[in-house]
Amino acid sequence: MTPPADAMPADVSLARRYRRFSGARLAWIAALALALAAGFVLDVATGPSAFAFGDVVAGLLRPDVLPIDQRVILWEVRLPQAVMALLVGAALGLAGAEMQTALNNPLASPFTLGVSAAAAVGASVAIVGGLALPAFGENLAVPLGAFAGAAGATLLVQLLARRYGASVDTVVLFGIALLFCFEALLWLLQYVADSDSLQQIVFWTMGSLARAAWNKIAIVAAVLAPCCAWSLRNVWALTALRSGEDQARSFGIAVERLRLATLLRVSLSSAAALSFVGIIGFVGLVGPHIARLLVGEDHRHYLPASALAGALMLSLASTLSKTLIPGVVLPIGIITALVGVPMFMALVLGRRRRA
Amino acid sequence: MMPASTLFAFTVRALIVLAAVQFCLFATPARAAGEIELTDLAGRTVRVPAGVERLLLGEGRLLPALAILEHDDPTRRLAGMMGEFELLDPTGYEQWRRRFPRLERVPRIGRSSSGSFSVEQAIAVRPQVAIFTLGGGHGPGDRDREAIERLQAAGTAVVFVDFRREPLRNTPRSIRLLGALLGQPQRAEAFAAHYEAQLARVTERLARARPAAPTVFLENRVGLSEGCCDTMVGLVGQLLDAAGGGNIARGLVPGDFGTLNPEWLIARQPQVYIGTGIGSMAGAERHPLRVILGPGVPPEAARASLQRAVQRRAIARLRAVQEGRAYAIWHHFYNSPFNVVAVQVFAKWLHPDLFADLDPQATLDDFYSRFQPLALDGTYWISLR
Repeated sequence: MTPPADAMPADVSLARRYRRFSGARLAWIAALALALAAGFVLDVATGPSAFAFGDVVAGLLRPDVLPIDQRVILWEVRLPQAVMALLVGAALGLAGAEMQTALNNPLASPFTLGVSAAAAVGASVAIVGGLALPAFGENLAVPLGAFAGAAGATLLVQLLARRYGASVDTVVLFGIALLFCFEALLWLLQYVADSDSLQQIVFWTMGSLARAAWNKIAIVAAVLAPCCAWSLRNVWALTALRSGEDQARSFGIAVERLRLATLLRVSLSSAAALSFVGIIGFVGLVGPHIARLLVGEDHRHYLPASALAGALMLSLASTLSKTLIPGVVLPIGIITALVGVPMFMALVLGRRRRA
Repeated sequence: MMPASTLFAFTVRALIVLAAVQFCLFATPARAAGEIELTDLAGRTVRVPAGVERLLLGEGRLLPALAILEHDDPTRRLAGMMGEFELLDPTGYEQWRRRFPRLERVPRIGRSSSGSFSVEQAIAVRPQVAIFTLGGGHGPGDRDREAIERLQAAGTAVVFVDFRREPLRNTPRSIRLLGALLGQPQRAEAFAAHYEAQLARVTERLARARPAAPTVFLENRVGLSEGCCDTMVGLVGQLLDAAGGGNIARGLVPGDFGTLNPEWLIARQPQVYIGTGIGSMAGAERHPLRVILGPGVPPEAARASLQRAVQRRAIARLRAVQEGRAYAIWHHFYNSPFNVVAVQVFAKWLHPDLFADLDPQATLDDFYSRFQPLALDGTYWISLR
């Protein structure tokens, strides 16, 4: 894909301005990355037990210097949750950003097309049906159910869109219809579930990092890595699409195919992210907006910034979920929205005041 | 054949009961012919027909309580019941169904939540009295005002009992109330007196000896979700308090339930681990992490399931587990008239020297042989070693 012609430097001063412009965006991305690194360290360093920061660092470098309790706390409780928060946050931020571009809709997120609801239905079917699928030392039936639900919803949208044309309106309308349909199915499942299953469904839909473990992290990462690579290959096409469907077509981009491919990728990564932690809302919607406010909509910057913003949000939420009531874990799905909304409003209002 | 001492004790008790019945708290002489006035556990004054013939149960698991008073056939007067018994405790329900096949044909008025309770179905089975539970965990409760009003409008008296909200105080009161309702005050008084005596064996000795309360992590419904460390201060937590246990979640969890941070648990290192078991033999394959306890469970299976359950990541790091102070108890004691047995079990685990002479198994056997129409079968608590 070639960059749009007007972005080419026409003279030296334009080239310098472009470099400054682009440098500012890179600086923002670097700032986000730094904030994320700080957030991650904070997450790993925080917990209800007395654990000196020096010991945390020492334990990270040489696990065997710690007493067994602290080693378990660091390596089996804190780190998996912190890493899972990063991965899931980044996946949701990236998925939301791509979805908002593909559907040309600032309200799009993995929720919009019913992907999350479908994942919840898939997980609930596995819970209510009491399915068991032991592998890698885990019962993978629930995450696989969630994944199948999310992928199924996307395939359904794809099928309908292929049949009736993948225009933005069609896809969004199908998605909204599916969302309501899956929510109704979820309620129906909750209604027929016995109380044990019902509790499990409720736990699952509230989202929790407590289930994080290294084998699950490996599975999620294995799905996310190819999705990210695939996204990066499409940054130019997506940037072109953002400047308008007709313009993108004039560059020779097969817009409908791009849209369907993007949706498939988005559902793949969000389903992988959600399948092990349950429903975590808001990150996929707001991460991209934060990124857009900071670096604009050139997808070379916008996509990484969205992923970073999503990861940062979830990382901070993870820290909060264990510090609000020390000793007790609050479901992270509750925290993300409660923390994300003020953060987002501050950003939006700050921008508006400056403008 | 009853030993002479027991027979004597029984006779004495029966005499006391007959005297007590004259001053019964709940029943007052009828105003209209064939009606009695009762005060239920919600503090409501209810007038019910004497010799009630058609009963509705707001929870199927009230059946064992009903059977305390209706020893021959507790299903005889059943016009309808909620369907949560077979869903929550399938093995237990199966025992009752085998003993009383008519149970299968009792119309169900809902499944296992107050939302699934059908007031129309309830009215359609024409009950004279509906027995509901406070809070209505798995059926209609005192907050379902519309349902209560409609039932009353249709001529059904609604009476509230409670084995869950304040189990130790309200269990004997609920049984006395049911005794008055069903015309079995002597049986009710015999149970209530026995219950209170069994509870006093723990509470009085604790009050005298005042032992330090060992810290306990009470894990709620082991293996229900994949994560770790769900706990409770309500329900079984109340039974634990009465047994002199120091629930580490008390004061920490805002409501009745909560999830503890595994890290905090490892740092805190409670002295004793107690999990509640919701597993059954039939579900062992599907739910390998649950602790199997309850009707029809042999002790070996129960112990093996507990041994598996405490191998989970954070739990395995607890010194209570490593040193063998890990136990599990049948979860459904939280809603059982025999909940006092759980108090005795906890007391023995937590204060083994103080309660060396206490035999909770004998208490449970005794409750069953005297007050239940079917034989006790199964394992209701287990220790790791």
